[in-house]
Amino acid sequence: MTEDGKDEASVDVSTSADEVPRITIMGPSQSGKTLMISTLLNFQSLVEDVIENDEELDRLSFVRHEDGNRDDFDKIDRAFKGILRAEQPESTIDAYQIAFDMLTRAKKQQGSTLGRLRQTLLRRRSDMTGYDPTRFVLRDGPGGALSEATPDQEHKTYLEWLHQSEGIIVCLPVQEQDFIDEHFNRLEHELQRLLKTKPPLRYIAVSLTKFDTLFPDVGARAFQMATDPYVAIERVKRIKKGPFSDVFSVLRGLEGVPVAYGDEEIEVKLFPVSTYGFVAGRGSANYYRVPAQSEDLPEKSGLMTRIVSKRELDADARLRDHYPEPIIDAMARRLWRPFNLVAPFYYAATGQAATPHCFTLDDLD
Amino acid sequence: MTADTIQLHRFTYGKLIAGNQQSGPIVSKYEHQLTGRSVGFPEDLTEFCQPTRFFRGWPGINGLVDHDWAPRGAFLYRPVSASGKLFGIFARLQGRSEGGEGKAGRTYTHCSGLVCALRNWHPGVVWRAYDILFASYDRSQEIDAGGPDVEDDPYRLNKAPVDVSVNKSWRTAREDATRRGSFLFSSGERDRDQVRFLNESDERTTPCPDDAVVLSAMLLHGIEEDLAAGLGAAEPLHLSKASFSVGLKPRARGAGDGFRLQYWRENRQIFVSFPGVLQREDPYDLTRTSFYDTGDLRWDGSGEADPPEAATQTTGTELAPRAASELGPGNPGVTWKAWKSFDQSLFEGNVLEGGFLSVLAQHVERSLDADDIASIRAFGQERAYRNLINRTGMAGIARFRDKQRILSAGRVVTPIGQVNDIAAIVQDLGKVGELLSLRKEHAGLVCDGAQFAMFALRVVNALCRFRSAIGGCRDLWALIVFEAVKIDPARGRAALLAYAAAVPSYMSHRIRIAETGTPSFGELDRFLKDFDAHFDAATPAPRVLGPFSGKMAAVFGGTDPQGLAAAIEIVVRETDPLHVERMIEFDRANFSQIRLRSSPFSAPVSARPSVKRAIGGATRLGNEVWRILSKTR
Repeated sequence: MTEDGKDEASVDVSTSADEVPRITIMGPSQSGKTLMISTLLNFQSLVEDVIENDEELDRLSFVRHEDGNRDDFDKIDRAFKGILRAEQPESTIDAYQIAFDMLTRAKKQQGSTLGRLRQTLLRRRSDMTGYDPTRFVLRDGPGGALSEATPDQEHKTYLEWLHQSEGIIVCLPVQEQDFIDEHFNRLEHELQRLLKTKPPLRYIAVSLTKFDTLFPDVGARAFQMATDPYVAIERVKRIKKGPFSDVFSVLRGLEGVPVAYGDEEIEVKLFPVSTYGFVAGRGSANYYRVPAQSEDLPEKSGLMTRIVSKRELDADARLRDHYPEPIIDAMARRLWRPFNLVAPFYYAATGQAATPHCFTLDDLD
Repeated sequence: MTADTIQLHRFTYGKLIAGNQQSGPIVSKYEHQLTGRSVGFPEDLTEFCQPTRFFRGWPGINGLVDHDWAPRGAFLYRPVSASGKLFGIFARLQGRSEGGEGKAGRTYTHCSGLVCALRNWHPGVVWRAYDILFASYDRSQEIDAGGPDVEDDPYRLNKAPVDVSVNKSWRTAREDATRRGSFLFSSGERDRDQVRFLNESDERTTPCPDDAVVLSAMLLHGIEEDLAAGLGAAEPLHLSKASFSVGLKPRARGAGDGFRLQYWRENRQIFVSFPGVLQREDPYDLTRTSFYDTGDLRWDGSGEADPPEAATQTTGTELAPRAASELGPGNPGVTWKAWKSFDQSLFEGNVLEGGFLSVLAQHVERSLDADDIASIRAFGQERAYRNLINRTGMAGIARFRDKQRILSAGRVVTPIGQVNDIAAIVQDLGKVGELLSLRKEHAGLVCDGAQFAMFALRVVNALCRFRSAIGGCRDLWALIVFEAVKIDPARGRAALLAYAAAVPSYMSHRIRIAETGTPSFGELDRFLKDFDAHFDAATPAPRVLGPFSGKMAAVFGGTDPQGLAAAIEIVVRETDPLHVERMIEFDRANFSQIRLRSSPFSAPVSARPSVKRAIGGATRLGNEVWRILSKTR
């Protein structure tokens, strides 16, 4: 059926396969995959915050490649704006792909005039433009897309894409309530299948999402603890001993396997990630939860640095505890600092860890 | 009456609800999939049951369904070809919370559907499918037929198919469908407490049956086009043409999803995209979509020039089909051919036939004696009379401007405020129609004077709320008065008086009759003259109140001051205070700037002595009313 969007998507897959690397983002339901992508696209100015001031990786931004499907872009863009307005996000119903251009801007754009001049003179001519785009195509889908419970074209396409990907981002939410989850079994199953198929896979970025939820009661010290490698590793070790252990063992099995083409081996890195992040300038986890009080006053939760209108404050007294003053759009964006968001994407696409906040599996032993 | 039983297969796509309550949360981490279907469900169709398959580029359920307008979900129909067989899928598409009804949680897509095999296609199925999918939620049984499946239902994958009974006759089915004024837009289907049209005032929660009439007429009109072209019900072409959606948001430019007809709301307007033959490739391009702006309809005497698009499109010019898109928004985007087709059917009374609007027209027609009709014909106004009858439809009510734009107002796009007001008008007109039809059987018992005056004032009130409709309603109103006077002269005069006092366009009507010499209704003209003469000569109008107030007094209570006060109280109670203020405004400095743009004259009305006198009288009445109103406040 030509009117069907999925068929068109599969056409796109075949045409773009030879040109740009493919990346699959996978993980259980509600692990924050789609929101990661939408936030990534909306925070051009902030992604460098978590990047080490390495000379090669000074500033990095992700923009949607113009060939991408506008509808898909609008859809995930809406997810971002919804979160910003404390609306309920939408469960991803079908897989889609989005083409990214990663733009790295050389350090010459920053610093003193003399410094910029020196860097310009020392750099290659190609860097003179300031931007060095790297392209990849990312495929996202519902957590159940890996499930064989829905054996349809969608499922097949997703699996096909997964098995042709050069990079995988595995999203594992670190919230305790998500530890026991049958979807991890599916994830494990798929990763094990992957081992047998000699995939072109090179980089696996394990994105430990919702990392901020590990520091709920420490107030302004949350950011400090999250960025302390010792604290963070200890927290992740604790997770690893839980039901994540099966997934980690599979990942361990994947690591070091020779890639299908070339002499290299599959590499695995873990990145603590928080899309909500920490409140800029304060450092506390950027998440609030107002418990339900009655049927009329259900639970409220979401981004702490969201847009809050005066009308909303007037209408709900409970909100005033969290937001004494209205927050406008620009302010909400300025305070919203996603944590380590860009790193797994960059790693899956290039194999470079653009952040100090990452671990290897060995670090967790 | 013969009836056919048609079997519809059921399916539900979405997330499974934990437990046995449909209002509960979903099963944890459940992903979208087919959660239920009927026994014998066509296997080939399974993959087409995903709502993402209905569209090119799924924008997400929140980006697709207009939840404010359609809180219980959008209704859509989509033909599907699977393994060489054609099916029609009726679907209810809704965003629901994963946490349960009314609870916080992610939104997921719920789609419940009914599948009709090609051989069973029948227009009556549309409405039956809607009935089933949007059946009222029965809280006592906790069952919503179009709702999600629950985990504890052991038969959810083996449901019984639905057998619906439809009338064999297409014509009857069509009439049934049109008569169903409650379809989709009625108060019964909207959550009246939470959802309200933007222009809707608190007391105005009346349904908008016009929408239903227009929609059903349009759908069926499309079907009939096929039939007229020699395509029977069994023709595959028919199925593929009939796709429609109601309650979706407009799509971005170029993101068309193949719906032939889409009905959506944006700001204060209802849009209907009716792409026509040559617009299949881009049905949601707004420049190709008919558009009617409330602002263009203003008849507020602001003195603004007509919108430019009115000048760019001359009546009778046959547009090349592709030229339509070059005219920009504000112009009908459908092809000229489609306009013509609709126009013709409008004049022939086909489109709204069977609807209660035309029932009213029929009532009116029946209530006229043969002599009446003969006299109308004698004035050479047969066509005008036919037009008037047709104008009882929504399209006709707004039809006071050039043909193309009126058609776009009536048929394709209706400003939502206008819909509300016209809905109220139409309701009242329906009552009049009934009253008129009863005239012969129950002469003298039609209604009492107060009842009729109330009715008259309500109509005037509705007219004044949306003044652009006044011009279009003028003749219709005149007919009502005309008929009412025949029933009971005094009460008819009350209605006329209310109209005359409240609606300045009455003046333009009088001017037209007086100055053009080509009255729309000769008898009405004579009546108006007699009426004026009678009251001017015979009524001892209290001078202090002015002639109009005197007439009002005469009608309602003679010259008795208490009767007058009572009459004015009725006016105050039944008339929009805003309108009274407007009446007073007429007396102020701005009056000289007022242009009655719907009149055939371009000169300021203030230049005309007759208008001055008339408005002066109306103003004095208005002042009097306002004085009392101020006291009562």
